[in-house]
Amino acid sequence: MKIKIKKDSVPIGELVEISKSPKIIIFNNGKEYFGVSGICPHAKWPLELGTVKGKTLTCGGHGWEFNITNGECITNPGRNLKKYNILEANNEIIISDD
Amino acid sequence: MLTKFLGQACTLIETNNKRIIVDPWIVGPCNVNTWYTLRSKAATKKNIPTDVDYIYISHEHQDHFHKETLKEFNKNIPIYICKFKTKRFYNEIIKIGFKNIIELPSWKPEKLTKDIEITSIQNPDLMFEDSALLIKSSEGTVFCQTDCKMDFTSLKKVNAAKPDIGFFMYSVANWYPDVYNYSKEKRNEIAIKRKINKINGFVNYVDVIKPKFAVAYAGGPLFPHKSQLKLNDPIKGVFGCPDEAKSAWDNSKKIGTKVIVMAADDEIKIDGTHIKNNQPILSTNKMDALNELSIEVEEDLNKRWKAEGEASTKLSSKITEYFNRIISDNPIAKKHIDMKVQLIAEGKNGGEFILDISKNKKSGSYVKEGKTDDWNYFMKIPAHLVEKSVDGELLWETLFLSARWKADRKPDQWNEHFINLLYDPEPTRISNIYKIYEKLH
Repeated sequence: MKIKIKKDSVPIGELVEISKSPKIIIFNNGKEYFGVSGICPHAKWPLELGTVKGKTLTCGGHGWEFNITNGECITNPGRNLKKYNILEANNEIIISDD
Repeated sequence: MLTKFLGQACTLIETNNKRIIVDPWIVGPCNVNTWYTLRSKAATKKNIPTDVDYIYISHEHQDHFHKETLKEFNKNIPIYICKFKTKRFYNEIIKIGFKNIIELPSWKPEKLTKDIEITSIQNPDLMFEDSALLIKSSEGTVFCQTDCKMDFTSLKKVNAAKPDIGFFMYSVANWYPDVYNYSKEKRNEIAIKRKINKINGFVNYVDVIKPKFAVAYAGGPLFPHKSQLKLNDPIKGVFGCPDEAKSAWDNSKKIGTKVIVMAADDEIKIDGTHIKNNQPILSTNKMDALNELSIEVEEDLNKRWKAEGEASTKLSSKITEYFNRIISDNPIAKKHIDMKVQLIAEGKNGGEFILDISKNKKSGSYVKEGKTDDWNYFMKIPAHLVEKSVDGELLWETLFLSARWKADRKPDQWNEHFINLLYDPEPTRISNIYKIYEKLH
């Protein structure tokens, strides 16, 4: 799977859904882009409703926390998000799962 | 249609000449004589509206399923609950004498009368049972989240039902981080973060469901016992007040819903008219209310704590038998728990116990008396409460919610598998859960 998007479609500090199936969200912290699966494994809330502080993505439903850089669940170890690879190329980013 | 708020998650809905009470905890403390509802003056039996036609109870936590309150009701009143995977909650209700218990499959509407319909909505969690409720009549629709952590699809379905009034949980009501051995700074940092996350959750729930009017409820309680007063701190405490939820909503600039702060005993009509019958407990007056309540209930609370009694001389053998049984009955849970627990039963007839729930521990006793530094989880609990739990008289979770214990973790991580084993160690339940869990993870 490979998805190409324009960098400016992911504003700094926002969680952006870039694919519905599979659901993927991207975060741009101003230096790097991160991509993870976009559904919370706890109660299936869309994670773009969450917030990011530092490396921590917090689900907007019940506060489960994840490391946005690798998808690891902080609240409940083992309940991780899938991490997607990000490749930056000029004004685009390429998201892949290989 | 009129809804009366009676504190915590208790609502009384009157519609078309019928009265439905939800999660009646009104009088006395719950959770091992610790929690009180947000009132400056404790409720009495006179506050219990026993002339109801139906009772709905969302789940078995004592701030929702409160035996001291329920004993005032006629045992022939039908009680509706969600049809959970296990019969544990159903059986608990039978034990207190109610004769007519109806289990509702999640999202299957049930007609109470020609024009009153209720729908139970189960939480998605594999391990813990909880539910919310939707009540529809020709006069309007009311949604009660209770403290059910709902899946997002269910929220969208509740939104589609166009509720006029929604009652939403706004606060943490849990033992984390207060019982853990954190530095003051770390504890405060966690508490503030948790509180903010929960209030954000309130805002998102309201925004997705979008009732015309939303009421912040099912939040933190008051802890009036002298040994627990610091838990009530409105600034550094993890337990919020409803005005904080309203401020968060108003500051979010989201539209379409008006958030209302209700005091216990207040009423709300289906058009949003708020009938004020009491002073709400807010972050600004919480400590005054607490001090008033603390003085009022002190004597009764001390009597209740004393009446809990002491641990028996058999406690040591009971602990050994109990943990050996639940661990050896559930090897699949042990595999996932994978830790050593230092349990200190503190007080008369107590003792020190090491529970070896490591995945590599294949046979022999899982329990031995003594101390170790090699623990992953540390629990210091009053011995008489440990005895009530191993005797099956007190849910571990209820004990934990009381905050009458101390804990520590190495590493500092939640272990849902351990809490799940304590929640209900029945082997079929555990086995069924892990059949699904292992497919998902």
